[in-house]
Amino acid sequence: MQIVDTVVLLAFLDDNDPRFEKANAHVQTISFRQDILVPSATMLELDLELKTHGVDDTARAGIHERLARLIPSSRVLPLTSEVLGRAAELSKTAKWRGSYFDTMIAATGLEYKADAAITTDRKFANLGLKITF
Amino acid sequence: MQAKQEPKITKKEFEKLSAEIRELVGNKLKSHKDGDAELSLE
Repeated sequence: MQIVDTVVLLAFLDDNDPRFEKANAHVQTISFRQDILVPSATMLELDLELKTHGVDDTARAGIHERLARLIPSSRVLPLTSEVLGRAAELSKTAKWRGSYFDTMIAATGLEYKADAAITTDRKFANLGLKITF
Repeated sequence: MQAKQEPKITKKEFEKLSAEIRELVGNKLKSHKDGDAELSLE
């Protein structure tokens, strides 16, 4: 099983991103492969990225309405107390700036026994997950 | 609670929805850098 990091969804949204083609292919596989799952923290970070960059509430609602078709709820892993506790443990070693969502996403993968994270962020290797893209 | 049936999506539907999503995002993420979301919380 593999989990999807936020960088995949962000690259999927921007067809000028050099990672676009592969990100688009990864997102396309989510709906029909049961072993590719998206942490809730990935969805939350994506929404905050959109909000931070000025995507208004109406547009965000429309984006999520459509994303729900591409990423059905059966492919989304929950953000549980166990995940948050593990993320807090990971935070002891994740000292880089902006590690909060990284630790939650990695903790989700570890709690649900993922083999790897689909990401270009090499820091995930420091959190106990192999990386692939 | 009964699990909701999730209909499979076709390649054509995927492309249509993806295009609509990108249109809604517009060019707002052009200046994006990894980690922007979290930094906005500080």
